[in-house]
Amino acid sequence: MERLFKLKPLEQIVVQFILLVYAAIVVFPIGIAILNSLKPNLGEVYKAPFALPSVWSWDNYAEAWFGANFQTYFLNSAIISLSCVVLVTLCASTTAFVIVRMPFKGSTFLFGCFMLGVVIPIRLAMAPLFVVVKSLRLLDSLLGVILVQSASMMPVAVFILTAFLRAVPAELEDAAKMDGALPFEIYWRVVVPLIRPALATVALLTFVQSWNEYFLPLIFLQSESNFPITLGMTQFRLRFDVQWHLMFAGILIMLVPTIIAFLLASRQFIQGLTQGGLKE
Amino acid sequence: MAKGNYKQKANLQRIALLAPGVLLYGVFNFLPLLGLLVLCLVDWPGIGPMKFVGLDNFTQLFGNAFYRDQLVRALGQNLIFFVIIIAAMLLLGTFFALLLSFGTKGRNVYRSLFFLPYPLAGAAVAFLLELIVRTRGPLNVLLVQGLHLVDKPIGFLGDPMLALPTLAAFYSWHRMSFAIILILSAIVAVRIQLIEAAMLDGASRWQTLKAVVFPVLMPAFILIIVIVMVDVFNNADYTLLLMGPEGSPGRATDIMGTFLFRSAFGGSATSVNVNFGMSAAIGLVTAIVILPAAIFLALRNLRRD
Amino acid sequence: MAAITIRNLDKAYGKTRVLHGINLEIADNSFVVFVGPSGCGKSTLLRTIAGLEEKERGEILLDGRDISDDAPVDRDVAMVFQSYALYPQMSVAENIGFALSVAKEPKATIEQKVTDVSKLLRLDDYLARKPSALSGGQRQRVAIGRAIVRDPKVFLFDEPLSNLDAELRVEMRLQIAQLRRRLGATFIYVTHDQVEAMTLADTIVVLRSGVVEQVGSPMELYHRPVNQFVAGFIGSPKMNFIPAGQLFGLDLKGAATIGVRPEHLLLDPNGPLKGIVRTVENLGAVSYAYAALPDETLVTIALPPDHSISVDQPLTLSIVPGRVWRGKFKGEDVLAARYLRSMVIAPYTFSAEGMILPTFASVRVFDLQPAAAK
Repeated sequence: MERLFKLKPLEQIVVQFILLVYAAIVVFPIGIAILNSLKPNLGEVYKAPFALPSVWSWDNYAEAWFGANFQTYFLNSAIISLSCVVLVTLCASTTAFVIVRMPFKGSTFLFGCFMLGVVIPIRLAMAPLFVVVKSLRLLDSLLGVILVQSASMMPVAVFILTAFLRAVPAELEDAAKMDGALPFEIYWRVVVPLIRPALATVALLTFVQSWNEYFLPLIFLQSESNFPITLGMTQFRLRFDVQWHLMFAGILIMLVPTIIAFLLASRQFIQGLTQGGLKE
Repeated sequence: MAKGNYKQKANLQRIALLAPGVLLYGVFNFLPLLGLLVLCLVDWPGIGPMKFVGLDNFTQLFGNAFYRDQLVRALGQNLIFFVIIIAAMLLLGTFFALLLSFGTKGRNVYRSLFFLPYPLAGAAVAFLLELIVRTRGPLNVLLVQGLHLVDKPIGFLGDPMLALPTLAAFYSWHRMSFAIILILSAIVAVRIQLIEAAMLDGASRWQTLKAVVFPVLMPAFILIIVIVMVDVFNNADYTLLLMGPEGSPGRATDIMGTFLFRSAFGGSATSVNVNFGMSAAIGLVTAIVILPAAIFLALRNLRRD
Repeated sequence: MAAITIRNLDKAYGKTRVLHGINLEIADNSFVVFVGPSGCGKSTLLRTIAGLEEKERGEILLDGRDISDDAPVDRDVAMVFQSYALYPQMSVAENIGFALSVAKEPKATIEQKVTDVSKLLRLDDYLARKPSALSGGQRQRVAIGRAIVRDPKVFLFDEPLSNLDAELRVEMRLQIAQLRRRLGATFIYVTHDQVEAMTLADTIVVLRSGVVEQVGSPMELYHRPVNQFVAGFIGSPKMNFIPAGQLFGLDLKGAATIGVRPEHLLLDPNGPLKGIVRTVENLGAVSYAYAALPDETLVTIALPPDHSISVDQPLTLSIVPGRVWRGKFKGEDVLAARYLRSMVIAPYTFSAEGMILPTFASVRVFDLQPAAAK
């Protein structure tokens, strides 16, 4: 069967060449960033962006980290992302559990409401959303951003989890029901272990997306002490725009958590992508 | 445990399990979406009293030259932005997916490598690529000094003609692997069942591709088109980050997302035309533009259940 | 005491009705098997008794108490599931003790009961293992153990053996039969496999499309099925249904059908059925020949092991007297009915070898010709 797709030596060379070119395009910006983030001064970046640094200056990272408020930004981002992960995995899985396994009158309608959120992005409703957040006095607070970001990721999470749960036979839960377990126990002792793979996918997607979110914090946060790293980066850019080597270092610091998450779980990532096939 | 107690408890617990998710989503997502329908009928700068104006926001948007020109421009440029991205994604995506589906050496390495930009933050990608394409940046150095393709550096983001396509290129660089992976999984899915049969019939590689593989890529193409469309018509992060809410130079990069943002939160310090009602109206209009795509997506999701 | 009475039980999913007015009496300490083709409602009936499905109308009485609105756990019933439904992250001991831990029994009691049950089922060596480290048969025993530990009045089994291979299935069947003798509780068992039904049951309930077709002991169902569906469903291989017109020499109007089990067809040069052998299956203790009648109806014939039948050979068959199943006949089918009645009353004897040897004289076809000609 593989014969048709086996390449002749010449074809192999051509294909390899094309793929290498594209790989170079993908790697080029990141490679340049790494290379130049280690240069001692701006001059070297200008003069020879592709040359190795004359001195390997790891200090750039320290300077970016301490010079700007990166600690604060990083901490805020971590608080926001981890809270979102906990909130979304918990709320979406309980919601999916009830919708799929304990349907009631109107549960289909409820599911439809969640699907509306899948297809209409919350950004389009930024004005009403602002009104809601403002009237709850949650403007310029981490809690407000956490709630808004979690809510924006709920529809996709509910969708992924309901689809997963529907594909899992209900016999285990029936058995637990026969044994007298109440919904809390069934959820915690039977369903959660059962849907762990889907929960991991949701957690990963949520983490990456909330870490990377720029727009919602932009609307709802004002004081710099609350800024996550995406907003912090724009502040950083205002100050160090001409210090290219520092810019590169700052950008790379920002990328580290998502790259780690990706390396740890690239399979779930790609799975989530094809499963949900949705948004970011 | 008293008999009959179970059902009552089970019902209470069901409500308790449902409440957090429904509240969270309801208050911070569903309610605002519905709120669009109400808010689009008022004139309100965000503070002070609201003024009910009926459909005035819409007549303004379509009738008043100040708004209409912005709307037409943003919509048109958004469409161009979308077309460039989708063309790149479908053509290059299919091309690379095909190359990766052959018995190519190191295809798993390539696949991971190509996927690298995907999880990166939009803000980081924007700033990184902006540095790369500056007139004194590495790309221009490469083009002018390295490859001698051009005489003097190109101002990718400064030139009104080039700015929008450059942003589209940024987007494509960031999201290309999404297309590659969806198309690749469609190709892999069809291979096992059909290609063997086609091959036994004596079809050549190109014939097999044309007769067996391409037709089944349609669903993947449609999915990519729909998702990218929904995304680029509401998400203007690149423009906001690099070009500001006014979509400089001279609104050459203004798209729906920036127009929407500007109408609610103002463009620059001098901006006075802030109206949440207008923003809601623009949001609704954008929603209607992407509605066919959105409905398609919803139907597809429901059918899969 | 655990007698179950089901009265006028109705159940529907949306607009599809799956159970139509079920009425059943299940005696204390009996082994009842619900059997029927897939989609007949047997599992739904079981799950409604368990409380996993809500009834729509009707009553389910357990020892006179209506349990049909109780939660599953309050019904004094336990269930063994098709997929075993063992909690994958819990050990065997935790699986068996789960119901007790949910009921907040003291640890010592749980441990004692789990030990007792695991001894009964010979699981004591596996208590610390996870279900994934067990064989199919062991998982099945854990699932049964989880039911036993609750000491229910009624055990419900939902196709518990369908995931096992053939050999293990026979073994587990024997174990379940033994277990039931030891526990002395009421067992209700759902299967689509009529061999399981015949071997395990005191009483078989045959269901079709949500309706009870017949209730009776296995031999009652074998000998006196009330309709063609039950006749065809019980017995292996299936009963042959032969258009009465295929009985050679008889000109019967109408489309009356008779049913004859493969083991009741005999090679007889003077018999009323003619056919050509299409396939022969030799299973050792018994062989089956599949012969096509003139109208291409395929009939199955059980043959003794030392037969000399080969493919394409023409056959003439007769029917063991008294072993014809007659459907309900109306109007034009009277002639067929008369013919068949004459066969039913015909005497038959047993030979020394245990084979049924008919006395042919009374069932000769010409005996009936005057009637047919009339």
